[in-house]
Amino acid sequence: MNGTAVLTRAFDRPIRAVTRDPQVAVLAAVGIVIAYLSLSPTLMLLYGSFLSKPLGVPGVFTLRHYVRAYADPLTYQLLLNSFIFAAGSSVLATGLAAIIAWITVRTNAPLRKVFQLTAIVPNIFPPVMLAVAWGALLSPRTGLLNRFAMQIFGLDEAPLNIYSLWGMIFVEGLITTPLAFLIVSASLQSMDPSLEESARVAGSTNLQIARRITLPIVRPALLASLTLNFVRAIESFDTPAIIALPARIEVFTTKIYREAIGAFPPNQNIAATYAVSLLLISMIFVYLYRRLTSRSERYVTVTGRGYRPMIIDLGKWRYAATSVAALILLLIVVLPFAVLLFVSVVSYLHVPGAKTWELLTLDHYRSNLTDSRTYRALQNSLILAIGGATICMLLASITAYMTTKTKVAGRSLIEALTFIPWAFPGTALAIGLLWTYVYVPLPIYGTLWILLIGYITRFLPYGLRTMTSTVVQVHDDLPDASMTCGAGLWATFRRVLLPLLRPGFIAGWIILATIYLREFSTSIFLYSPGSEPIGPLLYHFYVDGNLGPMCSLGVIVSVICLILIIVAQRLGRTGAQVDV
Amino acid sequence: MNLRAKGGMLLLLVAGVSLLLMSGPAGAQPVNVEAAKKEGQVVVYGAQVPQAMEGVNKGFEKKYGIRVDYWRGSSTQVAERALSEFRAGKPGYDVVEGNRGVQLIMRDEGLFAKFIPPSSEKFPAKFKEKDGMITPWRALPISILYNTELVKPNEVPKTLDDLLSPKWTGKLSVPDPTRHTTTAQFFWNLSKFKGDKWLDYVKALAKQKPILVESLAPVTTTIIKGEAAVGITYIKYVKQYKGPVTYVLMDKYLTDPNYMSLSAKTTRPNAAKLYIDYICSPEGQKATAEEGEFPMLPGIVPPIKDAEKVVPGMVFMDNPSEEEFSKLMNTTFRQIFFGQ
Repeated sequence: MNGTAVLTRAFDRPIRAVTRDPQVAVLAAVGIVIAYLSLSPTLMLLYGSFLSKPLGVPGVFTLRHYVRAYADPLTYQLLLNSFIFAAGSSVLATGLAAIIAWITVRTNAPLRKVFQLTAIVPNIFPPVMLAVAWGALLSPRTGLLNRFAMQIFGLDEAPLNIYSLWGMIFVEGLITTPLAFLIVSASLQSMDPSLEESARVAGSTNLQIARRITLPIVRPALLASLTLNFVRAIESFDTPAIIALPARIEVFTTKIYREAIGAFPPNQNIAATYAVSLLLISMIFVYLYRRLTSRSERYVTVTGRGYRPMIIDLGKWRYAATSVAALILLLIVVLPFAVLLFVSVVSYLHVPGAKTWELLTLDHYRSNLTDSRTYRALQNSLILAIGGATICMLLASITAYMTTKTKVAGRSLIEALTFIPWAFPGTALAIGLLWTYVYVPLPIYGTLWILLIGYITRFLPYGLRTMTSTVVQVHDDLPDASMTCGAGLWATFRRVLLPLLRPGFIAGWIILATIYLREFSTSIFLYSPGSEPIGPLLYHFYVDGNLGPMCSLGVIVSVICLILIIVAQRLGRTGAQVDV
Repeated sequence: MNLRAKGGMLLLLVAGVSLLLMSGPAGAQPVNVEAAKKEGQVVVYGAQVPQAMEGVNKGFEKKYGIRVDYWRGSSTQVAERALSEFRAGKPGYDVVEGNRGVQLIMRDEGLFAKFIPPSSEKFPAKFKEKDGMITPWRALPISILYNTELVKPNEVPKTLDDLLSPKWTGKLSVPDPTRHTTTAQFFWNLSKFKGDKWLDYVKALAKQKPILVESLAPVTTTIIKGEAAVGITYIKYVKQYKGPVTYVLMDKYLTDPNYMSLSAKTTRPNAAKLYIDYICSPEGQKATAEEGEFPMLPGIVPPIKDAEKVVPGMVFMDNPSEEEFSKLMNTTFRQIFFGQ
């Protein structure tokens, strides 16, 4: 018997299983893709952290980088900073979100629907812009709010300083409030009102009901929001890049940036050791989050239906509630956007006054619309947004279908694999990808492809979430009927499932596209000058002090995203009607 | 001497002369314009701010119909990108622009190929590189810049020592020397003026709680916005940024020459060579000066007040080795500025 025959026999059984059942084949293909996407950067990140030589140079195994990183007392300071930053901002975000969710969902405060904007509008800002806007408002010397406060109260010194740990917590808290709002308001909406009604009938006051009934019921959601926002903050590089670097506050992500890009010569090995630690911390907290939400999360859209939450009459307090919500809206949406607009139409940042009329200009918009670098960045980001969102949603649809609607063995393994991208911090993923593709003999390193792979890997969970909740709503009978009538797997998927899933698919696609258009934390490490997307370009404008061009480009991107979000909302609504 | 020998001599002479004519000035390498046009594009990574490259890049594109893709980062970032891409065997650049410090490091790593543009022959001999691996094209004198609305005429600092006055505490901007190579190099070169005391000066400056920014360009915008009143940066920025800012005329200026170098692994060698040659030509050098730069070609100065008085005071900086850079940035300055 020759070698080929032995091989053929060894692989015979699995191959026959795959060819006999197309579901197994599809599942295997999806599994391989997801396993590759999530495992290759993880393993290569580890590899890089143990390699004696820099990126791209052959070396040997060493523990030197870990010794250097963990013998440095600075590492423990940055660990502490990261935890304070992440904990502070997640508490702030969840607190603000709880207030605004309660007002909009459960009270009769006037204009309450308007405040739902706090959940939507921030999704159109490139995240670095929010930090830049707050820098322009609260910088100790030039901050517009500080200047106003100094004029009004006759102060000698600026009362607030954004370039501090508190400043970072404040900005990151505002950035992550929308995410917290979605979690908390969903839980408030899906609450069974009969419990509260019984308490009321039994003679409890509003406060007692809130404390004894409402709070315990939404507690899991609050905890989930705290955990998720903690992870989002600890892995965030947007706010730290703008605030922590100038404030000389070191957190994990700034350290990774400083070692991989900011230092000279760059040290991607040390960056990898810090990234490994960050990945571990993030995995622990994402695991906790999943435990907290494992029961309710997946079917939340289904159980969410049918309840109409009890509306509490606030009496004369309802105007106070509106004012509080309006203040939060002001902080999250109105002030930052007003500042961005202002900076985008004046020659340089100054306190608005008589001088403003002389300094008004459309030059920044003109320079952006004619500059070849900006043009190329917009082009790159659009390619990434359209291509990335399409591939990611296709992958997510197939995966969601396979894991929720089929009984094929091994589907739980795929679910487990998607845990890694869930927990992968953008900065760590980027370092892992650099280590991966420097060795892959395909034109991926330094091109748009590496960004595309990074975007798909990191945000696959977002697509999965949308598609899983859509797929769950599709009744099993329809695909079964199609199969019974003789249609194959592909025909069933294309003719029956895709039309049913379309609203969810498109809504998810648009969410991903808007994320990709604004992405920063991963792109800043992965792009090379020929493949520069918008996020890093905005940052380059910032570090060169070109706030005008930066803000005008920020406004342009926000408008593009706003259009996409409005379309998404429309489609989302249609989606609810096309329920099966 | 017979006729044949005479003929031979003549032939030799003709050959010699034509060879001389063909090769242009000694050492310079001719550029094949047609081949360059066929290549059609040149990718340049540089430390020059894009608004100051626009004139010269447009001029080149118009003259030869070759597209210039220009990407700007700080000198440090340019070197980091170029080195990483080179080590990965995937260089995306044809030409790298940057200051001497990082250019020498890249040269030693083998990133560049030898190229002496014919048009650089008129540059003063002291600026030229013997090995022809990197070509100087502009000089960047560093001085004190200040906000003309915030600093009264009688308070304007006259020397670097004046920056140590308590009135500038917290109102002074410099790039972070732990992240920015040119600034690390600038501090180290203060020994040219202060001898062994240079480190004491840096320590005193750190006590002034300066606003540390990414590179020299944002020092200017920090001053224009009024976040800082004074700062240490390139004189040229008074032309390249709009706003209430001017510079201090001093006796001597530490100066950073910047270079253009040809990638050793370029796939567009002719377009890259033509680009470097154009930058060094009188046309390119004038366009450079128009943007506020001090070019290499004698007699051309930028349209900045008293620019001709700056030129004689330029003192070129020396370069720390890669190890010295690493020690300065990661240890010495980190301790001084961050107490770590």
